[in-house]
Amino acid sequence: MSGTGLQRRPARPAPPRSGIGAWAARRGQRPPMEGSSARQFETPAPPSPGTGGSTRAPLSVVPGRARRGRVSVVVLSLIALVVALASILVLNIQISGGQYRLVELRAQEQALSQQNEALTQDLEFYGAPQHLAVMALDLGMVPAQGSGTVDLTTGSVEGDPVPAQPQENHEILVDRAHQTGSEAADRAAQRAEEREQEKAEEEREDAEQRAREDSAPAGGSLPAPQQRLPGE
Amino acid sequence: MARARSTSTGDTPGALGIGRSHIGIVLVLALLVVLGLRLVWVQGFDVAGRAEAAATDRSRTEVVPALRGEIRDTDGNVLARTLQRYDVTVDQSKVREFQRLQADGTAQTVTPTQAVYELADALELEDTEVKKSLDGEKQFEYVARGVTPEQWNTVRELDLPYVYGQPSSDRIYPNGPVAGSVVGFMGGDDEALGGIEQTQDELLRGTDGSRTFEISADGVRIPVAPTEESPVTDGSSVQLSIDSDVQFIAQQAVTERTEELGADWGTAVVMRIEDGAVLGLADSSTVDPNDLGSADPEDLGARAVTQAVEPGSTQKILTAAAAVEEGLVTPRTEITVPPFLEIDGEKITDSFDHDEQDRTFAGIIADSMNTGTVLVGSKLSPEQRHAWLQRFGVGETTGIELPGESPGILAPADQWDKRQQYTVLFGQGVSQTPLRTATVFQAIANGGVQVEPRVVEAVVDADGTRTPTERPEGERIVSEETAQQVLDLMEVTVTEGGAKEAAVEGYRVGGKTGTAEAPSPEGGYDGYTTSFVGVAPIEDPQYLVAVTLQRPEGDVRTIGATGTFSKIMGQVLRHYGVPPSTTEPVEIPLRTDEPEKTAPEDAPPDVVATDEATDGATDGATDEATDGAAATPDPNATASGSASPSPSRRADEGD
Repeated sequence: MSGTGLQRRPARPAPPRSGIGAWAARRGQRPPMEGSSARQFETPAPPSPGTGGSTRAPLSVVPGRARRGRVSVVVLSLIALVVALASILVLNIQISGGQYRLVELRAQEQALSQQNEALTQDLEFYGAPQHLAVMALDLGMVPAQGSGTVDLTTGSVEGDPVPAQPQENHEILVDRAHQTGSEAADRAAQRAEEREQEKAEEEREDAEQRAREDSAPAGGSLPAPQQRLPGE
Repeated sequence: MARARSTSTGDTPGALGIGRSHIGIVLVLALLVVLGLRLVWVQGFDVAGRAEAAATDRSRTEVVPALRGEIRDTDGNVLARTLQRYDVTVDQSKVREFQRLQADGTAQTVTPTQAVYELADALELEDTEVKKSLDGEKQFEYVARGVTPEQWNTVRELDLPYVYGQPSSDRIYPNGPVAGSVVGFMGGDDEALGGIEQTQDELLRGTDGSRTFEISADGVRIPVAPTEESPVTDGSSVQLSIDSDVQFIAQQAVTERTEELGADWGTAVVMRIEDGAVLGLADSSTVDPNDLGSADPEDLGARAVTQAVEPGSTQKILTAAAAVEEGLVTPRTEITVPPFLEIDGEKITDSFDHDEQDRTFAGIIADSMNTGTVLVGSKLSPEQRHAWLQRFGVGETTGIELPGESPGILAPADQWDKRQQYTVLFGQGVSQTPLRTATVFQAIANGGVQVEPRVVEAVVDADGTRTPTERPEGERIVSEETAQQVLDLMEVTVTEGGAKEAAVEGYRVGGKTGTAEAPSPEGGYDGYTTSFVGVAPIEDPQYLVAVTLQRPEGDVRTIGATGTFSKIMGQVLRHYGVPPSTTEPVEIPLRTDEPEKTAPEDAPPDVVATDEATDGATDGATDEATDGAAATPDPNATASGSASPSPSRRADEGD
């Protein structure tokens, strides 16, 4: 059955081939050249081309193909194995790389959402009605006292709108929100403190001035009546 | 032949190696068997529990805390929000010097003292405070609670091996004291303690989830390992009908007046008439939910809901509605009012001295005359009076979604004493919350249909689905015609009667003042409760404002709440862009005789009040101890039918 013997027959050198076939054919012809002579002796004497050559000739090609196939299967398996291993490796690297990236992105997301939270907190603090009112007051704004409505059908002004008048001692009596962890709140607290100090200082100065005025008519001979300080 | 050859090739060249390789194979196989058995032993039977231990070691279970829902105002402004915070803790037993690896590869020795300084800087705390928390042998101690993520990151970068961070959360109230008592607050252990936080806790809280996963040695999650997750359900958000701006306006105005008069407290209720939605529930002093520790315990609740007071003359509107509905009077019915009224041996007087006068019923209400009100109201049987009070909801809670609502005190008609059966007609001897008083006016202004007030407008699920809460169904109390006639009475009170300060430029408003004596906690009465409840614009009432001041100090003629009402109502109308009234106010003559005594009509409203003051004083003396039973907010006293040897009915003569 073995075709090797047949192929090794020097009498029938394989015709030159091209492509893979040529390569396989070259490889196929190597064993006889490299192999031990013992083999060749073992092989039965090649039948003469004359005896039954007509039936054997077509068989000689098939085993050659089989041999080529086996070699390529090994090679292909090896390649497949390498590819598979490589792809598993790549996949693993990718997955764990992705996991690290995921962790990184999660951290980034967390940092951003925390930043967002902090900014929202500041924003909402600024937007609180009493804070707006205080800021408006600082800008010198005053509450409107009345409003009018323009009737679009007649073009007349309903109501009795008057310009807003500056108000003395208009104070925002609703305290600010005492929040922690908000820069806005910290700043507002600081401002409130400053305002309070300013006010206290003003009052003190006022009182001092009043005291001086009070004591002046007395000619300085009498001590100023301390109890009459305003605001006491 | 191939087979034969392959054996021959295997055997022939390595004849010497056969024995060796066989031994090797056997050895290897034996080793394999041993290893296999060991593997089965270790992995399959797991006698030492190593696999389990390893799995336990790898796996981490995290509780995924449900995010508490937000509380928002009607415009979606956030009133309460949960933020990510960290609790910084320390294992004191591990506090010692350590080597810190620096970026350039060198190590730095960090002493505990240095750590204290670094921590204090990072956490913005006092050095001594931090030192105290690091000193000791406890394995767990807080260094700081609720620090911001930013601060925690700074602490983490210090690489202190004995300091840990635990994620926690903090509830932030951006508006602070604006609507603080309505929104409520949380205790230190995440327990809802007040306001909407408390009543809507179930909705806001949500359900915690958990997550089990495996991590590798470097702490990164193993992606292919099995995970178990029970889903977390975040809390729903609650949207209130409170309007932050209106709330602020009301708080500012009522605080101003309360401070001016040195009153115990003041409240203002702002309500949309159509559906009873509460837009503002202001207190003169309010808890800042951010800073519960420094709050006065009295400021924790919304007083308009928790405090029952005697309403005083605002209740005359209820009496008038009942009398008109029963067909006893119309605003133009002429009634002769005596200087004082003797009925069942009880003497009823007014807040100002007058002779016998011919007045319309409108004139009686506009100048808040007790005598005339009792003349009309006494045509109702005591049972009828009680039934009418009940129909308007007096003695019952409104069911608003706030904790600690007081039902007020309405004694059964058969327990009323001789005087109380008449004083209830003008709001003495009965107590109710300012919110309840507001609902009486809401019913009148809403064409006779009372809708109980609500403050929760909608619930927004974690996925954003908005479900409006069900409003209570309106209940018809009086007919539309009656409601219209009573509205006329209210308008005349402002345009012609004793509440001219309540007027709002450009709008037709109507309302009623109230002055009642405030029951003292020690028994008897001390000070007054003044109030004004009004609606606007009267031709199509949309908004209601009720202002109440408790024990304002000063002359009774100057302690009213009308000016505050005008201020709040004016801003509310402008805030909602209500077009100014274009119709003329209704005119009903107050008196049908020749006005001889001109005080109530011609004098400014102050003077009316003056009369009340003087009269109140004199009357207090004469009426001493006649009607103690009235309505102390002490339920025992009232239930027993008559109680405190209490002084007077001075307040009978509320304006």
